[in-house]
Amino acid sequence: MELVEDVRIEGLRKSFGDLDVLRGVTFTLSAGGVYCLMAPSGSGKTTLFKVLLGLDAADAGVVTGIAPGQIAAMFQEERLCEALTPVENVLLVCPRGTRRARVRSLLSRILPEDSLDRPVSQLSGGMRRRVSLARAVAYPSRMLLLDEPFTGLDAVTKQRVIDFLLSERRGRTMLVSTHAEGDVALLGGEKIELDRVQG
Amino acid sequence: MSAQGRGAGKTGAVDAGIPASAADEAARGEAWAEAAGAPGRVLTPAQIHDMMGVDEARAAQMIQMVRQNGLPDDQMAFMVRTAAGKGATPDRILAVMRTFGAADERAIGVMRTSGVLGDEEADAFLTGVRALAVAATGAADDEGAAAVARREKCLGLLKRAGIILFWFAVWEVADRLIGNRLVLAGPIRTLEALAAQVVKPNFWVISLASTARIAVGFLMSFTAGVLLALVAYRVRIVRDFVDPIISLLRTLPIVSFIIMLLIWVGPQNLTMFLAFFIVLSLIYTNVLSGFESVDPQMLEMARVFRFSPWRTFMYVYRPAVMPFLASSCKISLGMSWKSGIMAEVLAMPDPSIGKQMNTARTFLNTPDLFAWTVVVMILSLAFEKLFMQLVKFAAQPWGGPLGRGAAKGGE
Repeated sequence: MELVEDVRIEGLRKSFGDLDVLRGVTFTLSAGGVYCLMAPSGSGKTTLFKVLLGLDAADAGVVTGIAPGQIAAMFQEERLCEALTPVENVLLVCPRGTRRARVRSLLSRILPEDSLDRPVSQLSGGMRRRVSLARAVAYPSRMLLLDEPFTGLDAVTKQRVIDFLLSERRGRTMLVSTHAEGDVALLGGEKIELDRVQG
Repeated sequence: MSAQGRGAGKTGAVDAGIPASAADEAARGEAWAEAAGAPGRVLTPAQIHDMMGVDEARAAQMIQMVRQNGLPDDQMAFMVRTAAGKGATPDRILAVMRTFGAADERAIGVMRTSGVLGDEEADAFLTGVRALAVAATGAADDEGAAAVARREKCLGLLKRAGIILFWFAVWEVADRLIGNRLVLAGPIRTLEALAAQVVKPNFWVISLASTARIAVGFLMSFTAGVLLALVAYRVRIVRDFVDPIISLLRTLPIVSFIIMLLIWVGPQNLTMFLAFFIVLSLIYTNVLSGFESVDPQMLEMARVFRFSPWRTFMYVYRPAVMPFLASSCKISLGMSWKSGIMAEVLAMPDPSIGKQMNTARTFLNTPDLFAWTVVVMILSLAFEKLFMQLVKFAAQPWGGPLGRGAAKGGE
C-alpha cells in the first residue's frame, strides 16, 4: 500500500467565463478517512473532481497531500472499454504482472460469475457500475474518488458493494459523492457539504 | 455514453430518484411497440442522418456494410447509447437497428443491457412488437416465425441465384443472336478463353505482377493515410496544411492524375502511384473522422488511470477508429483495382493484365478481353476478402493478452 497523507484542499477557485463554479473551496481529508460529499446538482462537484484528478486546472488554490495519478476514480458514467470483459477492464488499470485469477476472484465478490467473461457492453447498467467501482478499487492509489457509486443499485446489492468497498479500501482516503443522506451512515463516513466549504 | 444520456428509460427514472412503477414501464413499452410498428419498417439514410447526426452518404454506406458484415453486440450497444444520448426514443432506435438488419429480439435485448430500457419496458416492448409481427405475418408462435425466417432466407438465396442465372442466360442468348465474336463473347466463350489463358505459363506471372502493383499502391496509401491522419489529429498545423491537398486529390479528375503521373513516374510505376493517390484521400478522411469520434471521457479515464500511450491506443483509440478504417478499406480496395487496371491499360507495363487487355482490344479478341476482366474481378474480390479479414483481426477486442504474463498487448 502506498503512503497515505492528509489531503488539504485550500482556496480552490475555478470560473467558466462569468460563472464562478468553485469559490475558494477549503477542506481537509484526514489520511485514511471516509468522507461523503453532499453536493446538489450544479454546485461544482464535477469541476472539483476534475481539478483533483488533474483533468482541469484550478484558477487559484492548492491541493496538498495528493497528486493526480495517485487517485483512483469511479466516474459518474462508467467509462468502460465496451468490447472487453469485466476482468479485462479491471486488468487494464492493474500493475503489469497482475494475474487474471486474482482479478476474477475480486470481481466475483460483486458480480455473478457468468458475467465475468462477457463484453461489458452486454451487461446491465448496475453490473457496469460495479465493474467501474472494482476498477477504481483495483488501481494502485492513495485515494479513492467515487462519483455517485451506488446509482441504480437495489438495497441488497448496494450493501454488498459497500461491504466490498470498505474491505478493499486498504486504508486509502475515500471521498464519495452521493445524494442520499443514508449513505453517510452506511459507509461510516463523515459528511462534507460542498456549499458549506465554499468561501 | 453518459448515464445522463439514457433519459428514455429506466436509468433516467432511477437517477432522478423517481422509482418508475412496473405498470408505467409496461405502458411505455407498449406505446413504443405501437410507434415502432411491425418488422419491416426501415428508415431512409436521411432519417438516420437526422437521428444520429451522420451524413446521409455515410449512413447509406453504414447500412450497406452492416447488412453485409453484421453488427456485433458491443457496436450495437454503442450505437444504441449514442442514439439515446441524442434523445431518440426506443421505437426510433429499434427502427434504426431494423434498418441495419438486426432482429427485434436482439435490438431490444441490447437496449435493455445498455440501460436504455428497464426490464418491464423491454418485456412490454418486445411483447408488443412480437404481437405486431404475428399480426403481420400470420405466424402463430416463435417456432413458426423461425421456420418462416429460414424459408424466407432459402427463398431469398434461390431468388438471387435465379436472377444471376437469368442474366447469364440473357448474356449467352445475346451472344448467339448477335453471332459476332468481335462485338460480344458470351459466358461459354468467355470461360473457354479463360481456360485457355489459365494453362499458359505466364498467366500467373501476369496476374501476380498486376496484383503486386495494385497491392503495393494500396498498402502504401493505407499506411500513409493512417499515419497522416494520426499526425493531423495530433498536430493542428499539419492538418491545416494537409487538408487542402486532400481536398484537391478528391476532386482532381482521374485522367489528369494519369497524365501527370505518366510524366512524373513513367508507365512502369503508373499503376502503383495511381492506386496510391486515388485512395489516399478516402483513407485519410475516414481515419481522421475515426480519431475525432473518440469519446473524450474515455481519454480522461485513460489519463486518470495513467494508461501508457500504447494501451491508450489499443483500448481507447483503436476501437473507435476501426469501424471507420474498415469502411474506408472496403471502398478503397475496389477503387484501387479499378484505377490500377485502367492505368495498366493506358501505360501497358510489362507484364500486366492491362497490357493483355489492350492486346486483346488491338486484335479484337473479345473473349480474351472478357476472360481477363473475369480474372480482374476474381483477384480483386480475393484481395478484398483477404485484406478485410486482416482488418477484422485487427479490430478484435484484444483483451486476451491482458493479465497473461507476456502481456505485450497490454503494454
